[in-house]
Amino acid sequence: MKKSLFLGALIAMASLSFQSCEKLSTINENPNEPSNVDAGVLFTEGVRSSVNTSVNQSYLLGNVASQVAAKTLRAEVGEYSWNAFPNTWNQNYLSLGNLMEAERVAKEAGNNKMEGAAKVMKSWVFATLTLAYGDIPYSDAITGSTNGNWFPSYDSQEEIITGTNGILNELALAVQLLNNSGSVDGDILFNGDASKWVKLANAMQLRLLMYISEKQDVSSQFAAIVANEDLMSSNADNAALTYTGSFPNEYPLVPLKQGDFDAVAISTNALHQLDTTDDPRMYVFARPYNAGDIFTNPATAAIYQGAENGSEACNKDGSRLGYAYYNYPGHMQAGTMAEGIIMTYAEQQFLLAEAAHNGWISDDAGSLHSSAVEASMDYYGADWSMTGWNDFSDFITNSGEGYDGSITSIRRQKWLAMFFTGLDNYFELRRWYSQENGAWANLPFVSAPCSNTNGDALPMRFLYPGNEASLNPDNYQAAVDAYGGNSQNAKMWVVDL
Amino acid sequence: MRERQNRLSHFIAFLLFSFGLSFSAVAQNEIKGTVSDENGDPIIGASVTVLNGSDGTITDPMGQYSINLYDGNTKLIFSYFGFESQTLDAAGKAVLNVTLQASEIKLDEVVVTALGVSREERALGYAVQGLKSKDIASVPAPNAVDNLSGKLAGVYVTGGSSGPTASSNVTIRGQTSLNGNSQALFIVNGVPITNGLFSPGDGLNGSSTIDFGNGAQIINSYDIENISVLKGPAAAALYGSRAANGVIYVTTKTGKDAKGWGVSVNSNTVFETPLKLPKFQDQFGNGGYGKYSYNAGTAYTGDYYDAFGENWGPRTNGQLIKQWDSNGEAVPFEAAPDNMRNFFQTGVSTNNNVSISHADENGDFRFSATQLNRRGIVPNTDLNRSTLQTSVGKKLFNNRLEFRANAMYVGSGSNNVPNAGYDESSSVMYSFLWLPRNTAIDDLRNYWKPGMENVQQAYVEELWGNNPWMIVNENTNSFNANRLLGDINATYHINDRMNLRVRTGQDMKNDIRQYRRATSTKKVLFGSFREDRLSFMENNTEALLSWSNAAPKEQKDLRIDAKVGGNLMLQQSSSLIANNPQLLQPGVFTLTNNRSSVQTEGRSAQKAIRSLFGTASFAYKSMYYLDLSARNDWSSTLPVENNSYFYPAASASVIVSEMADLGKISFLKVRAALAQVGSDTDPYLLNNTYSPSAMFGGYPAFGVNLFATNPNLRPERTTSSELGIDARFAKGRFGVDFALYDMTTQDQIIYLPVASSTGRTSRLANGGAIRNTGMELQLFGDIVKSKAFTWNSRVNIGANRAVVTELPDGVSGGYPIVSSMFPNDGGTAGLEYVAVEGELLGLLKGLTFERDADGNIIHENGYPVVSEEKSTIGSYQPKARVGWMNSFSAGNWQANILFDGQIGGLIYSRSHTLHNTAGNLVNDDDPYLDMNAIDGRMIYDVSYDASGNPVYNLADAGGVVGAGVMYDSNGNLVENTVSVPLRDYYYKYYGNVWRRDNIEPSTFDASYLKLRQVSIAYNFPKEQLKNTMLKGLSVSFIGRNLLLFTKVPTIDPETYSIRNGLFIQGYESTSMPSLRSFGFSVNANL
Repeated sequence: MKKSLFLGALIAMASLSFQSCEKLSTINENPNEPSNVDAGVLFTEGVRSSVNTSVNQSYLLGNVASQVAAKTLRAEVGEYSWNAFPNTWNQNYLSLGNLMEAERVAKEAGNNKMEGAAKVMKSWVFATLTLAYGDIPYSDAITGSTNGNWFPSYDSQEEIITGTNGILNELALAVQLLNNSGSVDGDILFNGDASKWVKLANAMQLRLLMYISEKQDVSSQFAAIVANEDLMSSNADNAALTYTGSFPNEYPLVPLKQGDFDAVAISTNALHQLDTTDDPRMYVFARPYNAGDIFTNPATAAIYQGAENGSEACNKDGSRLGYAYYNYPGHMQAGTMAEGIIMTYAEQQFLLAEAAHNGWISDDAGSLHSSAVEASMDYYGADWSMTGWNDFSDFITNSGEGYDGSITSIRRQKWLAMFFTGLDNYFELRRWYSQENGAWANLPFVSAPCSNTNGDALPMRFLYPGNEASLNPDNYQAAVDAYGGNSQNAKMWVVDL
Repeated sequence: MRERQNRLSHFIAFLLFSFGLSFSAVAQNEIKGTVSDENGDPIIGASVTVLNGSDGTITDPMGQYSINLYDGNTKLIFSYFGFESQTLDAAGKAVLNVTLQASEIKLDEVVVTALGVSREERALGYAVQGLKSKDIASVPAPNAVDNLSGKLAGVYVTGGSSGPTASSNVTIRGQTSLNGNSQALFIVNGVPITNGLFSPGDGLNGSSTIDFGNGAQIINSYDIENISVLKGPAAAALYGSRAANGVIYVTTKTGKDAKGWGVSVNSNTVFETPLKLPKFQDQFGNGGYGKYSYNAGTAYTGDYYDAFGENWGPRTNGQLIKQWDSNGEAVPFEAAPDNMRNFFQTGVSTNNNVSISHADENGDFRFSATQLNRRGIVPNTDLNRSTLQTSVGKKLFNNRLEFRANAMYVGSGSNNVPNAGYDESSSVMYSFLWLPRNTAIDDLRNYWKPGMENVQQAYVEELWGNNPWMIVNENTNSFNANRLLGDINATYHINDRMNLRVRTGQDMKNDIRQYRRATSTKKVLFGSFREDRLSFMENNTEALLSWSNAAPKEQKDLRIDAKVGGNLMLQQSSSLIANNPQLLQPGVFTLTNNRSSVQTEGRSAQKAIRSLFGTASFAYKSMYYLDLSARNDWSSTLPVENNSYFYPAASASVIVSEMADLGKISFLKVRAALAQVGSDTDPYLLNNTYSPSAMFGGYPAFGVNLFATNPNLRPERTTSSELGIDARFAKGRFGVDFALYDMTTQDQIIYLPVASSTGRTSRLANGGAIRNTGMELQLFGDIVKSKAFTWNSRVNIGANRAVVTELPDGVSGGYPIVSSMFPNDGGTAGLEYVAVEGELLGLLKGLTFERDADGNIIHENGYPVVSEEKSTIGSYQPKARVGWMNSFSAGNWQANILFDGQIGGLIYSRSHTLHNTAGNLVNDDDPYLDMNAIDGRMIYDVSYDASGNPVYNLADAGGVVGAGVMYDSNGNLVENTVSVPLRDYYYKYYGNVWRRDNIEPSTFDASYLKLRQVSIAYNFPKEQLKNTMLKGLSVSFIGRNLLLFTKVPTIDPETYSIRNGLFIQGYESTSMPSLRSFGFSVNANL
């Protein structure tokens, strides 16, 4: 009996081990995550993360570097001691991972419209990256898992924007694809409306052509798009992500703690502009500043004040950003007021106004400018009753903010309208600054920041991040050498005039 | 030779005696006598037991015994290890002297080795060091791992301080992995158990990793029979993959040695207080640049500085200043000394244990129940742990079948585990970085604003920090865990040369954790509630067939023992995380009370390893020993074509002292070993998958994984060699054991960080190699050995260097193991923890001072200049870890004193940087910065004008001139003469202002010495217990971590951080104070 007991045990053990070999690989099949998904679900993730990144970088970098807002604490952006701002680099590339995977899966599935929309988003993110850093990994980027290339080489900015597979051509290709078959799935931006993606793709081409217009004659290309392609026709065509208001799809600034949110205030320059022209957007962009907190002194009349751009030693007492952007504890909810702006109709109209001003197109610069300003006013829900103006037409006619034949009148209003538009407001300021050969005086709505550390010179780029230096060293070094060092003052192609 | 043996046996006998292994009985018929060896020398500690009875005793240092006989029993068994037992009839005798004959089985220490096989230490060709229950239970640490501190050479324990559940990091012979834990494998009664941290997912709801405790800490000190540490792969090769980092083999107590019935009761109570706190200044209070006046708690500029968060404010000289809780009145501005110390309470830990054991010829059992209750030094933190342990042994079929079942159930829970991270939402240490020196901790106790209970907290400012009382009372992290460890094994003796053992063992854990964050918590404004349900199971089933060419007592010149076996391992884990990120109704912590949707995430994983192994041991004339072993594993986690891996080991030893008379050297063994271990990885790392993330409105979302999987992984390999020598002198009174080893882990399976321009953050790859070389030295001896007093001393020294000998392709210039050590800084502050080829593993890398050729700090405009490029400044790795154990005994008194410490190694203290830049410290103990934070401050006197606005009168402009050099107008370096504000000097000294990214001024030589353990015990003599039920009683004073000697300011250098579930050595950030504990212990035997 005892022998049979042990024989039994032995057999049991042996049979356990024999069932093994083929089943080991079955055991390692991941039950938690799919190995195939549709392009749409990747697109949702890619759009959300890239727009969130854009909002965060407009808050801390774009608005501040363009001087519509000022850091009140940790003021390195304002005082021009720039670093890599590695979140801009890292988060954008990680978003590209999802957007380009969506593009790949859509292409494989033969969904043209989906592929086109993914191309538009991809192009937008790459444009932000190259305009912030200059030469960047483009054709080799995001290919690690597919090609095994873990050390992407850098492409020249000129190639990235204007090359055969460059952003401009990708956007044009996207328009073709979007006019073809399929559907834009997982579309949290336009809810599957391919025509709006087409308009965005065209408007983005205009934006990029304007950026490079000092390097190339883009007039005919620009005019051809205006003449032949669908463009945004109202704020309804705005590429701006409407948040749901519930975690984690809230406006990205809402979860900040108050100290962090209050580290940015409306700038002296922006407030001066808004205040002297009695611009109703002031009440949206900023909240009253009454010795600290309006809530503790509700009876006091609202006072608006700007904080100075520049080092922490400068005047930093200013109105914090408006109620739309943050939940002040115990007071009111930002809800879904603020959107994640990719590009607005207003910006497109400013581009057209500038093109008309330059003579690229024959339309009237003044009426285009007026439509741009009005679109911005409407977008921000301008309440004219809070101002001395009767309505928009009163404002544009009598405030001195209409088009007066000068490029400055276009720049100044565009600068305000580009509030919270990613890094693009900085890119525009940089273009104007370069066009003016660094003469701040020719850009009267802004000024060299107070006690800055860069000899009053606007930095031209973000530094390459340290992770590239340690994880992609050879390609990083080649890129740095091309700029004569990883310097914030090195001139990338678009501003190397 | 015989004499040498006998003296050695006496030495051991004496040790046993001094450990007080004695049994007594009370009766009438007393027999006395002396037990001696063939030479007439007394044998100390020989066992004298009554045949068929339950009584027994051992001989004293004179070899004498006395025992009472009753119930008609007259036969006594005299036995001693290394001697043939004798059974004699004492009928009618009052005196019975006995001479024992030495047996041919050689006397030696027996240790538990791989597969749970007890072997003579002399036969081993590799290092195994053991601890007995006495070594562990005399000062039982609540975390079993801490019991090992300082007691074993080459075993590096770094205790944690994050509250009652704090994890302890234990590595043996250094760190073997480029990234990943190098934790030793814990085996309980032959069954591997998990020592995992189980901290999935950093960062939800604003939290950093919360330390719920390492898995092995639940082993109850009172249930441990012995611990055997198998230090290298040679010792551990038979445990497979996970044994590459060494094995800590725990054997729990059984009833086997009970003589009839035995009952023991153990109890200890210890009190805990902070061992070291920062040296705070009390002359200046909250504010900036000498100014402070409360307005709305939101200003960090201008006239108020009421949300400045620092202590660079006015003098705490009683001047009248408006404060946060004074309702707009100006009230005296005074220091609140010890406000941080006063926040902490005295921790109390009680541990009570009862065990019952019984043995007879048919079997044995032991049942033990233990209750541990701890109250942490942080208010409202605790740990309650109940352990039920049982062991049943049974012999069947004429002793041919031995059967044993061990089971341990551990139920543990806590209402709140403190968080020690840099995390405002639940770390009080974060709050204390910015706590005003003028705010008494009791003034913060009412942490809700009146009328706004559960809705709005009250705190000294509105922008940054949370009220520490709210954190501990509302923002709790609780858990409730059940753990069951059990094994059943049966050994069938086929004949006297062959047996078959079958064993199955299981480790099961279920854990429910709840995290609450109150409404108005900064960063979690709506409050949140999250529940995690985690479970883990591992089963190991093993069969082992043993064969020997000789029966146990049979004499053979060449003795061969061979074993073959197989093991099936299956691991299953699952987690379900439900997160309510925003509460709807404040104060109601449920999943359903949500204003946004609840996010859930469920995961499960399984892994299997199947193994076959064999071993053969050869012993020739008890002089030469050779062990050969081999194992093949098949792991489910590797690709089918690479999932089988074979690894061999060989070890040999020679007892030189058996071959020749070595004079004063009474025993000498030389040993050597070679071994290899293969290792697999985690499940599901081969194929690409997509991770789900939260839906956006009605749109589901999936993302590519941040790490790239790899379908071509190969097993990693650890190859080691070891040489050792073990010598005893002066008839065994002194001894030395020395080992040298060299261990290389190559082809590592690692998450290799990749540039984010690839779209991923890391990829899995094989590559890189780490070489650990080191030595272990143990010295021990009876320094004083007399009847009245003995002093036994043991020194353990371990020195290890882990060097990165190879990095994977493409990152040979070095790469960050952890690229950003500071959470939530967006990667700008940049202390990195890097691997560089040819350098020590784990280099600290960051910005440093610019210095001139003589090493002086270069200043510009009066401020230190910090480098633009990062550089490495050294490693956490100590030159050596040293432990010094002393045991004293005098009459009925026994004392144990253990010192341990580390020599060399670096530690970076984020707390020191943060406290100093916040103006919190006196800073007169800083080894680098010879500038205290008191003199040179800017001082204003505060008064108020008629409208109640603050008016500041400058009393002292202050200013400091930093020691160092500067460039003069001609570009020559001259002594720095520029005076600057003290606060700004501090900020620039520690880096680029708020980034505080200069790591040099807070990276210290981490050498320390601790008075680790003290126990003073009184053993009541038997006469005093005569009329009681007690057989033995001892009462002790016990203490742990009583003294700390170090030059490191602000913190206890024995600490680590947990980042992404990994222990990171050499980096401290907002750690809890380490604990000093002291109390008393009572042990009674019935």
